[in-house]
Amino acid sequence: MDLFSNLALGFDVAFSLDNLLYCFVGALLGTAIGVLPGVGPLVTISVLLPMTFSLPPEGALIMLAGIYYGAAYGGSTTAILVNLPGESSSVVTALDGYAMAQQGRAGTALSIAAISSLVAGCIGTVLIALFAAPLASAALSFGPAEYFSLMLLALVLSASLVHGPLIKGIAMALIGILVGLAGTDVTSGIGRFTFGISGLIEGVDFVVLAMGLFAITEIIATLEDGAGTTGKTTTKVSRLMPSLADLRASLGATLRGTGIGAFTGVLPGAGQIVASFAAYAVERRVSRDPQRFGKGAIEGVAAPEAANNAAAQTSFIPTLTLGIPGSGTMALMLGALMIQGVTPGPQIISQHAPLFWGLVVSMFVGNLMLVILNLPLVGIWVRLLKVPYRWLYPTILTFSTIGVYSVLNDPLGVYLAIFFGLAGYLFRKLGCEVAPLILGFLLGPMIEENFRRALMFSRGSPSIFFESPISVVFLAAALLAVLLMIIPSVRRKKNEAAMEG
Amino acid sequence: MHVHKNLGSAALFVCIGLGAVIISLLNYDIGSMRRMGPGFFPLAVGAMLALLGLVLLGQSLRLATDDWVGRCNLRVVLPLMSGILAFGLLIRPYGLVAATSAMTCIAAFAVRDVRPWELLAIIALQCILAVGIFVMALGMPISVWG
Repeated sequence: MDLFSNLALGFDVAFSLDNLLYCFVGALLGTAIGVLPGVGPLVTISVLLPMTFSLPPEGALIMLAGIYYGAAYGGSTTAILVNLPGESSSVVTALDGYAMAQQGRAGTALSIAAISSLVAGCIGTVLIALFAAPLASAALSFGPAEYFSLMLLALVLSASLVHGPLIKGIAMALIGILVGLAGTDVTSGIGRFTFGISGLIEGVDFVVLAMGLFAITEIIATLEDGAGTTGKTTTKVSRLMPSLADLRASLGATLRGTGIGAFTGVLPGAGQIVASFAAYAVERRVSRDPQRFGKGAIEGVAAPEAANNAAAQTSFIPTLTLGIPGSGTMALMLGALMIQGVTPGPQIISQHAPLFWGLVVSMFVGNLMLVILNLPLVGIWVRLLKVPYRWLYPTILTFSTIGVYSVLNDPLGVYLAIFFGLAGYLFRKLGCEVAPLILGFLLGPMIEENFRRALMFSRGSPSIFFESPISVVFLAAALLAVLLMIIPSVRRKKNEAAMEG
Repeated sequence: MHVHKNLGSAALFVCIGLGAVIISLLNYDIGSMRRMGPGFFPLAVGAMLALLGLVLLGQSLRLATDDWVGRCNLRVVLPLMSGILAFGLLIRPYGLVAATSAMTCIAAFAVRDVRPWELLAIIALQCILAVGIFVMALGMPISVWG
């Protein structure tokens, strides 16, 4: 069968000694750099890209893939250990992962993140092998109206992640959109919400926002709890490896996350970001005890990790077959490919079969290497947490601040991070959760762009959102999600009123 | 001052929302549904935000829970923010070592009892890590000494 011969070719390429080595080195370097707070996969790949120029195309791409996965996993590591997500897809992992770390289950969280990523990687490899071509053409049928509705659904789902009133969640998402809109408007070229600061022309960088909202706020909160006094360490630490019960609990979450991620990853732009948020929200919805989420539910780590890994894999599809990079990182990969003389396009599967299938299989190999590399390292990471907080927080501060500074090489980034740190502190005091804000920030510009384009097609008529079946499905799902959240609380209030009356 | 969490949040939402609406109206072209100007979306989002804030305001005035806003701990916030600020101010003229040392030193005041020798050790470690990893290993174009 075609599937087997393709995979066989892939294994042949990926398991050559050279390529295995490249993959390993890539994963190692990627993890090492990705672990630094404030340094995410994009920076890591940019720094290491020149190393790949002298390698043959397969080797270069395989190494880049290794770096990419390594950096993504490194980002998840910091998300779990110190509540600082290294990149957008680790934001959701931080929600329950950090809570688990605070309960002394950092080792379990880290291990499950690696394992569920591996499972997603295996399944993802097979899915790509089977569905690469149809997935690519399915992505083409997504127009601006469909994208808009999908992102709206994603925002509603993320707003549902909050523990308080739904209104706060939606409001935070809207605030996030406003922050995301800061910068130069693509269509008109005008700077919006820049307040005359030249450094804001490019908008707010994710690293700056993440450092302020997550790292700084977290340090403040931990120090407020008195963690800085002599002798006190951050957490007690229990088991390093997940128990059988943990593994069983994560299985469903991993599989569901893989499915969601594999599907959303094919959509350029929104795919990877939406994947982890959607997987988390779905997991919470199907759980028998949703209250556990946000407080250390292991499914809350397994699902988004699986989702963003599956999405990372399938996002290679539009990049390779359509030449449409799904994200900044993919754009770099695309550049690397073209430097190597390989032109992406539908013919890539046929003309460069060894490259394509070798890459697909090396994704699986990369994940395997990550597990092999990182599971033993979990012990070291966890030991790092035992360092007294008075030594730990300056280190987090140093890394984050330099990381933020290095984004623009302008102190403005640092000042912005302070602003967001204060904002994060205010949000925490007011009981406003930050996850929807981040998603609003990430999706905001794209939502506007698609909304605008859809309306341009329809000459100003909003009916375009209801004419496409895909769009209607997403909008209906969003409405359903909102209703499902409001109705229980309305019923509860009625009961309370009835009891008082 | 006792402020209820949801009340404070509602006030925040209304302020930010109205702010966005006002800035958009004053500065950016709104356009029409057919041809959205740069101000259209921020205006819409800001308006929705303000609206949600008002709804939350109404809700929180009626409900009675004791979800009060906690106290602001200036002892922790001030040194941390000042430290990072110092980094931003010092990095260009005086370089990485000076900026990192200043930041670590000032931020140390957020902790109650730091002995001088311990502080020196922490500062030294930060400088070594900063220069070692970012400048030497990663090759970032940050001047070490200014």
